[in-house]
Amino acid sequence: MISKKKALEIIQDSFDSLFRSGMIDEKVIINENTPILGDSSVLDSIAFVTHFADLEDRLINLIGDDIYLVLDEINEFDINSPTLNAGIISNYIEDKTGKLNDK
Amino acid sequence: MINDKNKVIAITGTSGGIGLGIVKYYLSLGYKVAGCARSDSDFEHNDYFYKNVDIKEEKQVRSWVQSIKKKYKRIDVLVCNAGLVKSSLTMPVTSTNILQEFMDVHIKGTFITCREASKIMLQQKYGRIINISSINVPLLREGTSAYSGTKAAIETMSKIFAKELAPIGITCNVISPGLIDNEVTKTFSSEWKKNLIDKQTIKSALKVDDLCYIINFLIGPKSNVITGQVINMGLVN
Repeated sequence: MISKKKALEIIQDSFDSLFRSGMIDEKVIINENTPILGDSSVLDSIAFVTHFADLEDRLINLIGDDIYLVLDEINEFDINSPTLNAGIISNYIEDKTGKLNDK
Repeated sequence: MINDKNKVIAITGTSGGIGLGIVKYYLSLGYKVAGCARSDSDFEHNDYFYKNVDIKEEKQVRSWVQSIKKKYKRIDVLVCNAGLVKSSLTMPVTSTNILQEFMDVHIKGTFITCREASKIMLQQKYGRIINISSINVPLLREGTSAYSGTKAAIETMSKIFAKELAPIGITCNVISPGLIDNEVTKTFSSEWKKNLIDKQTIKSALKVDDLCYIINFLIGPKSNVITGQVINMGLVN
């Protein structure tokens, strides 16, 4: 299982990578309240999907098993008003990877 | 710049027919080629990586795409060629099961494959997606409502993929072949083939290489600004 703290670190690594590649203009220090999706986020739609694909890739490399992040599985995600912050995503990663161990 | 010898092309539906023809063409150009299909393949080549995949099964597609990434580190080109060939039946006698099969393979399969490959292309900030449709779509050919309806969905999806992915350097285009000479179409009735050729503007069967020349153009550096287009082979419509 990947802890929430570790998940936040992975999100930070992914944001650092987006910054280095020029997809975001400023370096972002991630905390639980950092907006990832929605009006307040520094990510545009392409940067968001790149971030999500990158997170999935980092998790696969870390745990050595296939893991599939699905927005619909996040309880707080409302497709009609899509907003997510780093805390919600890290909770989801912790929960999702915990279930992998249960398999 | 990546030369052809380092480029990786992933192609679905490569156990035979058009798919295998595309595989051989790109191997001859020096590409690393990854293929897949439901059935086994006895074709082997040092630069050819093949896996049994049912493209309507999400887990299998993900596993195939991940294994390509593991082996070759990237996917430059995706050709979604896998499709169903079923007897033509007019709508009143087309079963729901047949319709569902076409929807699963053409719509769901193409969507899942494009989605998974695009995740890798997004990270590369480069990619070329070619989806294969059919000239039965613009011809609105009788007896193909389930087949052509689901192929038309591929064309519409591809145009939207093209708009969504353009900002990151990924293009997505569609090629709609007419009748192509291969071992699969050899099994079609002469009457069916004649009827299709009569409806084509260029009244001859096409070769797989004709299709590959168009793929080559669309994935080449001179077509960086071409996306969301449907190329109908041998047809003015």
